[in-house]
Amino acid sequence: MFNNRHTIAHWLLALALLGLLLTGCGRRETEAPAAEPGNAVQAEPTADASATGGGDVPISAPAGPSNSQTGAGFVRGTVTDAAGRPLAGVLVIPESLDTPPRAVPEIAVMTDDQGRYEWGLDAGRYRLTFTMDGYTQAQHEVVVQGQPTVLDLQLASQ
Amino acid sequence: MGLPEQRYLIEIKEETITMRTAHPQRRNRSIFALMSFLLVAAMFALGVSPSFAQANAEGAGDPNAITSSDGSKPAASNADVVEAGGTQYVASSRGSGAGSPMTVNDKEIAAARVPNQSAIETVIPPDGRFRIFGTTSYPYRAIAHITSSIGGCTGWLINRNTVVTAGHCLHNGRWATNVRVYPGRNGSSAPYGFCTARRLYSVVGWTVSRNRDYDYGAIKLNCTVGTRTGWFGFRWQSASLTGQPSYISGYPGDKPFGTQWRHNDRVRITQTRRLYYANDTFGGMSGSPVWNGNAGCNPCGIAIHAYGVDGTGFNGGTRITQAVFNNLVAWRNAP
Repeated sequence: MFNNRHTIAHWLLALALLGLLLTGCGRRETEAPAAEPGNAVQAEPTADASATGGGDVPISAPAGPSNSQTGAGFVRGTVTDAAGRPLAGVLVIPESLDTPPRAVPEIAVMTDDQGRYEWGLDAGRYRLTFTMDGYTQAQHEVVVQGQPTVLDLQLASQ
Repeated sequence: MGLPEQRYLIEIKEETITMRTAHPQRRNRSIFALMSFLLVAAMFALGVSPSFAQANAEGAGDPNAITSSDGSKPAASNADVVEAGGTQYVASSRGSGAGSPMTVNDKEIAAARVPNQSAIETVIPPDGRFRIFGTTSYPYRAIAHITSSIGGCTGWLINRNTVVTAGHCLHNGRWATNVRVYPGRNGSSAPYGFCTARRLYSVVGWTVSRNRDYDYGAIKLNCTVGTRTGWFGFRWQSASLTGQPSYISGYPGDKPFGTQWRHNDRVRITQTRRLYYANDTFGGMSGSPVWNGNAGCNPCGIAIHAYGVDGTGFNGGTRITQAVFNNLVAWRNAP
């Protein structure tokens, strides 16, 4: 009798653990909205520490574990002026360089008050254009892979 | 397992459940049944999240299975659906038109310093867009500028408190935050103020699979501004739409911030789940209505604009198929 009760207790414990595991899996999609762009706390590889406006620098992120969304990645960074102050309202426009071109979501992504931006894109090569009144337009090439790519840059005033 | 070969006995507290069997096959079936019962009981007891239960209920393989920011699932509904010769539509409404104007604060205007420059990719030369100055006229007042943590987008009302837009405007690996919806916005003027989001909807095909065939969603508003702005109708048809007019109006990021621009063209390519057209668009116009009109449904959405030029050479959007239509109806009729 004791052995049977002992076995059932083990089963119930295993089921409880399974239930907890399933609970965690099920809640991933319904978590409260996450932090604002740029507030990510995970460490990210920096493909290029800093780029200066006006250049045309190919940048690629090192290979790494895939993003949770298959074939997708992020490009994010901070835009500052020549004095290092964050620039808000810079329009960041990606253009696919692949053949045939990858369709780009038609979102108007602008830097926030801290100069931060973030683009979610399918894996591929892109040219990012940074544009804002009073500053020299900058373009940079990036390769989006599974791992986030960080592209910070400065815009020179006109 | 530690069970006897020919006979076993299971007793739970107070010996309320007793099960005996004399044969191994029956014993195994009994164990399986008991395990299944306990598993289901444990899931209920532990409160497994609605999204998980929903995914199972709808079939994890269904890309049009609904997901939402709060895990809720709207009930299927056919309210206001009109049958018309093998297709279906929901009719539009002009609303009262009564406004409650506000001026968007200086901080947001400061973030609007976008140069008037030639478009980079998705304006198919020549640029045929024209500005809508009368954004309080219908249907332009039923088109909204959307701002959020993801970026600037466009949406369109389909009832008093539901705005349709692209899935990528609402979910980009995580749900958007700080969502604001400005119907009929005209630069710094928001003639109907703005509404925030009570809930965001999309589908598994976008939020999990990131498949652009399923790139659509909706915002359930914290207001009923649609009673004043009116709303678009929408429809689906299985026959090709190629050659039909395609009108698009939205909020492109290469124009003065918060101004609405329209372009007229026609459907160039009809795919099972996408429509392609040569309407000039730009970043910020994702979620715009792609519409035309016919008897009973005018203006009538036929697609949700989503992407710039791809290998087809045209801009494209998510076609309103029957499955998309059903979800739009469910979302608009959700509380």
